[in-house]
Amino acid sequence: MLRNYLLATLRNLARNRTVSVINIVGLAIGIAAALLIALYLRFEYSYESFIPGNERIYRMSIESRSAPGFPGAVWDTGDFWMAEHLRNDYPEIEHSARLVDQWFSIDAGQLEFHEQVYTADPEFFRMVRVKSIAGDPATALDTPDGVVITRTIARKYFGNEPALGKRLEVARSFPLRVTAVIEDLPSNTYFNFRIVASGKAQFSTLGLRDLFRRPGVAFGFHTFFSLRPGADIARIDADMPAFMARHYDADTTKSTIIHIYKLADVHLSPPGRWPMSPPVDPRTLSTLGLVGLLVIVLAIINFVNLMTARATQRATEIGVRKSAGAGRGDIMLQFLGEAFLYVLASMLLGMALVEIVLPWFNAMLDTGEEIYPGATLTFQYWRDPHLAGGLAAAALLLTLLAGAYPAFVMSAFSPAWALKRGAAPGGASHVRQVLVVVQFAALIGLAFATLVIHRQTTFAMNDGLRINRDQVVLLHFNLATGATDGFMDAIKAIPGVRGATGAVALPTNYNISALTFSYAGNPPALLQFGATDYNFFEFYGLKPLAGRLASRQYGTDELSAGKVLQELSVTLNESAARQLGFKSPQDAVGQALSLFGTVPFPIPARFTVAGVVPDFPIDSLRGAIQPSMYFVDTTQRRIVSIRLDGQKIPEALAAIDDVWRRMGEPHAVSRWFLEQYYHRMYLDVLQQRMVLTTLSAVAVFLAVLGLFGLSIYTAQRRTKEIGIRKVMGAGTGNVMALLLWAFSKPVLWASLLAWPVAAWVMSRWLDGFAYRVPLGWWWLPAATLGALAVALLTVSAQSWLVARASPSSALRYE
Amino acid sequence: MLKLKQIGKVYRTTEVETHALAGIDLEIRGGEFVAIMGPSGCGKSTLLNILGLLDNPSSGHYEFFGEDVTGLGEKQLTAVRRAAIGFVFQSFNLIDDLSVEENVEVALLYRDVPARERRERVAAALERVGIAHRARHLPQQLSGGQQQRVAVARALVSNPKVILADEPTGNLDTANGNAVLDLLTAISKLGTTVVMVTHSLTHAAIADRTVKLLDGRVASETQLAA
Repeated sequence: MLRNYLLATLRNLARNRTVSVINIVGLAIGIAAALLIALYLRFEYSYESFIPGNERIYRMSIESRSAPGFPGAVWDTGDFWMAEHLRNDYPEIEHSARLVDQWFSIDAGQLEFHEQVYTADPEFFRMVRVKSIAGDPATALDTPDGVVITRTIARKYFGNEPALGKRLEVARSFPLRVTAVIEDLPSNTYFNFRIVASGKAQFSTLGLRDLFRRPGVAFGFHTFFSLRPGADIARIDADMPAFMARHYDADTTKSTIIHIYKLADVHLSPPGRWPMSPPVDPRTLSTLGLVGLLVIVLAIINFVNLMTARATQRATEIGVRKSAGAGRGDIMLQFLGEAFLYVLASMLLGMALVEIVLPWFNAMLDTGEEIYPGATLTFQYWRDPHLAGGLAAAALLLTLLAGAYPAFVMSAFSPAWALKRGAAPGGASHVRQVLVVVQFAALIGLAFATLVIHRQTTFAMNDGLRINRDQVVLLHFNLATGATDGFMDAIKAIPGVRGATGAVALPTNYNISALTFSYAGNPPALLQFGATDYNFFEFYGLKPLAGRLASRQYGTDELSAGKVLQELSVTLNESAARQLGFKSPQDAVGQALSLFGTVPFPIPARFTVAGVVPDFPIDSLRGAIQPSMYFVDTTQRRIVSIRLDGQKIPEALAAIDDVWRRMGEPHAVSRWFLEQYYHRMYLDVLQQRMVLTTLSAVAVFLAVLGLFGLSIYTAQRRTKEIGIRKVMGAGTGNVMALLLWAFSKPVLWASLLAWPVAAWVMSRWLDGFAYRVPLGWWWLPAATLGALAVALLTVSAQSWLVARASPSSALRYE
Repeated sequence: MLKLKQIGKVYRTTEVETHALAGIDLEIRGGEFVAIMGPSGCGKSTLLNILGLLDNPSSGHYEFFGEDVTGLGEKQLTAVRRAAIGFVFQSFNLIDDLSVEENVEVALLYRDVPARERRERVAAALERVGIAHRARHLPQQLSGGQQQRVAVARALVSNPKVILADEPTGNLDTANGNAVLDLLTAISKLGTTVVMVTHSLTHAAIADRTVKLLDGRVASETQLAA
């Protein structure tokens, strides 16, 4: 009996080759797309799984608030002292440790590179137990010259030679000894270290206890702790306000909130400043998951539709088999078995597609940066029982869905009825219509989502940034004094350099300092506080909204080391002016601000607002732009921005490197394009756009495949009707219009379903951005028109063939 | 013996009620060849479907070789069909994806017949209807007459007590139609009950008895002269 069923299935498949291929390939593509998304989501939700006991490790964040109603600033780091205080205050804490990163030149004799170097308390690797290749990480940082490096770094500096015991020099001044080599960190981890030296090293800020004995909070120290087995974090979390009160002054305690995150959740937590690696917005993942689901739903709808359409033409066979003695169970077994064969073929093809496409998908997810490599997905179902089980369950579910109508509905037809009809009744066609409507609703929704994400990304990368970032390369100085005037002049003199400026920090990073100011008794405001060159704002194309920019004409515009001014003219951004209580930027010009509280270093007596510039995103468009104050200090040019002539970039870069060698710091040049930083900031959105665009293309392709298959069946089913219409006088155009209208109706119904849902979902997605594009009124109709165009183009060819057929051949067919 | 007593069949939709059969009393003896005639829409095919347990009557009683099958569930009807009834349809109703021998084999698949015995019986049935030389062909490679022979072989292969033929010659030319009738006559002479629906007086004349239906009722019965 099974052989008979198998033969019938295979020959039916061969006889209806086109539709069979459409069916199998369509479902395979849907399966492959959904599998890739599922693998990606699993990756994103599996952070830190490689660390034994990671569920007991936590990270601290500090939120600093200036006034109620205004956003606080969150740092993904702790204070200098917090790790020590935690260990002393809470017996349930097993380990606590800090890491801090700086950029240094590292050389191993022949090779020298600029690297991100972490220094860590020796406890760190006793808490974070990574896989070792050589040496013992747990004790590797106990000596001041100990350094732990990854396999990649070992190979970079020492080739195939064992690295353990070898020497590395930091900043050409501090020798280190490789005391452990660890496996490269997987890409699903918050940690991004490749070189970790001991916190006892001379160059590490972790040992500067005297420097940090002062009021306030010193940000910048990544702070982690682990609990003893069985301990509960709730008590520590609830005690944080008291913890602050015990160890910090009243002002700091009042304005600081500590957040504790489980290490495994850090990757998905709200972004703060200076994270070790960029987090992902869970909404992004939800969106991707939803889209992946939509694509597989589209594929399944196609598959079920086509299988059902084929099955309905086999009512006669059901009648014959039943009249020959087949029971309902035999018919069910036959059609479910047939569906299973199709699903199996699709599943195998889909899995093969995943294998083929995975390297490209991983390349798309790759950030291109050594320190933030991006997701690396693997598809090893033979070693992963969960994955294998999921695939088997999916195959079963698909079999039931695809075979449901013939197996459970058609098998119940009475033999007489089935033989008389030859084809199943209109109920099946109604089900198919509903499925087509749902399919188009998904397609319209997906097209709309892609359009919104595309517009928001473009806005974020262009209009929203508000600064001119064309061809800007950045040089990074380690020492606080930064670039000298002579260095700047030498850079500006290079042919191919169109301008240069300096600042204490990148335009993409927050400044190190934040101080609280007030105006005329209004509530105080916490302002980011940073030094720039005179021409910083002109360089980046920002014109003042009110007042003026800094100028050498005015004696109060520059703060210099060793010279304390009575009055310093400063520039505010829009948010700062607003938070200080000014009704408009103009109102702020000429007003004097007071420092709130005291600071342990000399400052001007008065801060006068010289001008107000537009807000520009410092970190990302996801977070509100922080209120900021800028002043001129040409002795703090730690970041030099250089605009290049697009025609002469290689020559200009070579000349810049030469100036560095002659006049820069005694280590390898540290140089990046500004574009790289923005790329990193918006990486998740850019990747999302790419993935969504790809998925939309897949969805359109699936819709086209499904429609094409359905149009073939429709043509077969309506051949007699069309023949009669033509005999009655209908022309080719009339018949075309009839058939095209039949396929247009589902699109219009689909719009009614898709529009409210799509608008709500994307509106919520846009809520994740502090600065966003408005939803255009024409976007949804455009998505509908697009879907309509797809539908009509797909079915028009088949409709044309049917419409042109002679009536006699149509009626003879019956 | 097939005994129908006051059999009625009503088809109902939301708007229309159609009485296809009303008060049919009919007895068919084992081994008899009965032709059922009547104008289009008189209920011939409906009567055949009820006789063949493909459909249930709305009223009345049906005794199938001594067993009251009225009101039996689908499973039980299937069991009786499987054991005792073969069908020949006007439009052949062969399965396009199966070869001639595979089509005939379908009638044995649901009867727990071992594979070897199935092959032997299929071969014998094909031989009997004269189509064995086309055993591996697909239906679309055969003429109408040849397809109907295959359908007859399929009906025969299970050695049924009853063969029900619904206008078996309706889609055939005279020569092929006669050939099929000869087959049915031969089967009947071997003791199988044959009930045939036909429009043709000529074809009805070869039956032992002709039952004429009109408007869902038995209008007359004519016995063939001995």
